[in-house]
Amino acid sequence: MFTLPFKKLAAISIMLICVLSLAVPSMQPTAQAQDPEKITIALVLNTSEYSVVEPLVQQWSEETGIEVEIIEENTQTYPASYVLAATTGSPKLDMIMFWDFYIDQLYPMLTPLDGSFDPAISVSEEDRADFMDIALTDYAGNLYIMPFGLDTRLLYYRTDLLEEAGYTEPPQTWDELVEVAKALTKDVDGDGNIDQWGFVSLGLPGQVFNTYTFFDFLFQNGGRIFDEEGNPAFNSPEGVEALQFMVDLKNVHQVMPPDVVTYDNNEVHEGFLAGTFAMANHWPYLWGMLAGTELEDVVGYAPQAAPEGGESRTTFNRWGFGIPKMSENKEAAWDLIQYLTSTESGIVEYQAQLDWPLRESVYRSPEAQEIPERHREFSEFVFELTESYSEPVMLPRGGETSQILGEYIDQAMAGAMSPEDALNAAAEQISALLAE
Amino acid sequence: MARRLAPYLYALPGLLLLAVILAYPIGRGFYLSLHKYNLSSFSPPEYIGFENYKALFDDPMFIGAFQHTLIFVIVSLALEFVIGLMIALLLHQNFKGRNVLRGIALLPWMMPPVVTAFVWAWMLNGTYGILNYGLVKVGLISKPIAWLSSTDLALPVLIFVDVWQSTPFVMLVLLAGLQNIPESLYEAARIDGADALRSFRHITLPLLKPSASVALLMRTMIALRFFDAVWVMTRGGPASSTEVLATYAYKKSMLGFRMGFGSAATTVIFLLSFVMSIGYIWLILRRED
Repeated sequence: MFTLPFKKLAAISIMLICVLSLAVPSMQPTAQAQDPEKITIALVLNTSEYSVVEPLVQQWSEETGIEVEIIEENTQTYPASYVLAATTGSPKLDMIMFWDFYIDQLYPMLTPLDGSFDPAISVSEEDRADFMDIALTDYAGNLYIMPFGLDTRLLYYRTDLLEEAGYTEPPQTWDELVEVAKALTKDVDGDGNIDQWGFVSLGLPGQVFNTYTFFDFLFQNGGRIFDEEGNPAFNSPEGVEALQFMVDLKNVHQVMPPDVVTYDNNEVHEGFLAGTFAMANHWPYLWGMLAGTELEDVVGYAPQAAPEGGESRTTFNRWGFGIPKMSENKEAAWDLIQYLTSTESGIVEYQAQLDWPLRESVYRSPEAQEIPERHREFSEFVFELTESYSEPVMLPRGGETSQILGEYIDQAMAGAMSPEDALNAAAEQISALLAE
Repeated sequence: MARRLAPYLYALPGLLLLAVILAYPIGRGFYLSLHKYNLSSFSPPEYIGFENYKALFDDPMFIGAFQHTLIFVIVSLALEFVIGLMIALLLHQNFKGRNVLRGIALLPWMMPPVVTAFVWAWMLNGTYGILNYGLVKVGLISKPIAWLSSTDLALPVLIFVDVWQSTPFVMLVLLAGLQNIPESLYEAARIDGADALRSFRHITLPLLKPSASVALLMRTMIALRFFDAVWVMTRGGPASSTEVLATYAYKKSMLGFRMGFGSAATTVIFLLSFVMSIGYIWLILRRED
């Protein structure tokens, strides 16, 4: 039998204990953590905001001398990554970037930013007055997200194509939307196939794709996603009508291409920029993409159409930053967040994205006045849209519930289930999930 | 005693590595599958026995994913084997440029699966994909086909993409097997009056069995975990017509945060792989006996 002499074994054990004893104190938080040399943040890579945020983070790092380790996340996986990090404690994130759609699942791991946790981590009254009211809203009684970018949805339309077809105004009702979209769905090159479609919106089954197209129509028809008690309400008669309308756009009126059920943001904006679609319900970032293109002067925007007698409504969400509870560098993280959401950074963001600023001070700044009038008019339009026509979408267990809903919407779009059956099945599954 | 223990000691590092990278994840997955564990609740796992498995088999989406996975595996493998064998037989012949052709034939297999999926997704795009454009131009179809948004076509298209990418691997393994068959056997058969077909049936196929078994076994294991192309091209749609076990498990665990339920799905994938691999090995060993 292979054995170590007892003395040698004892000597090795003592050495191991000594080494570990020396190592353990170095893992304890020290006073040095109060002035960190390095913080770790997570940014979502494939977003229009990333290209503006990342350089600002580097700038802050140079100015403060604090090294920033950036972990790049993906829009599809970041919620799970953050939750896993919070559960396992690794990596130890000091700041995260996220869309508030997922706030119900993320807020248990986040630090309140309203002073209730630490008076030093609090939005000042001055800042509160400067931000749009809808930008700084609480969830579960606290503020968990400082907004960097706001997302709502509007109707983009080709003014030249509408004029050609005899329309001087964009559609304002669902019936008008169908009529105009039908007129603009045509075979342009005479080969017998449709190559210009009248309308498009997100169709890919998933958490934030076809669900958002449905939410638009649901709100416009007076429906709600969940009721006050947190029960599914999207399968109401208004919801069924809304989904039926969405399905009919593709299957009955045929103003959306058959493969719209595979469209995420890329297909919608690339298709619109390529002239394949005459009208689109889409996000504000598309406006910035039009700048400098052939379409720059022939695209208009308007609130989305609504049912006859109804009101144009749409969704509203925020990209922003939060501080995980696990962070040992909260003050540094808060300093970074304040930097990223400051007036100066807002000016940089507005100049780069040409969409719309969240702060009054950004919009009134001399730099913003240099932005072409057409972009500032767009910003004003989106302000009004957000303040008057939009509803925040923050679902209970948003990632899970929207995944279920998205898949059943897809069933209806494919004709495999009726809208009513699809929404009822989704409501049943979601109710069971929320009851767990 | 030391000499008896020596082989085990030498094997210990490898076994420890296997335990860490194989046994622990599998064991942990099975453990989680017996618990209710939702990551976003930040609560510890709660033991519920086999309830997750019961819920799994009560879920029509899971049954559909199971069926789609079996169809995908069987059809893909059959096509890959037949086409792979045909190409291997061709490339086994002696002709000028054979080595160049062998290299070209491997190209699809060298592409990362995700890249392949993205390329095919754009080529097959119903509105502006190049495939529809080409087919309409040459008059083979009169209007574009919605390849990935048709419930009838989406799964066959995914099978096609997988066959396109994976056949070179099967071809390579079979080609190696063909090269190990002694030429003298074919000469002897020719002398005895056997034609090409008889030689193929009685010499090539039986002696190719070990290589074919390896290729089919490896391809089966990989096909059962098919995820990349489905996720990139269809996300399991339209109407769940391309949902497979891997995408189902991913949606439940990583998108839905239901780690216990998702672990039950992945455990089913593991058990399916395990049973099929045991079956393959038993089949090979039985015939060799």
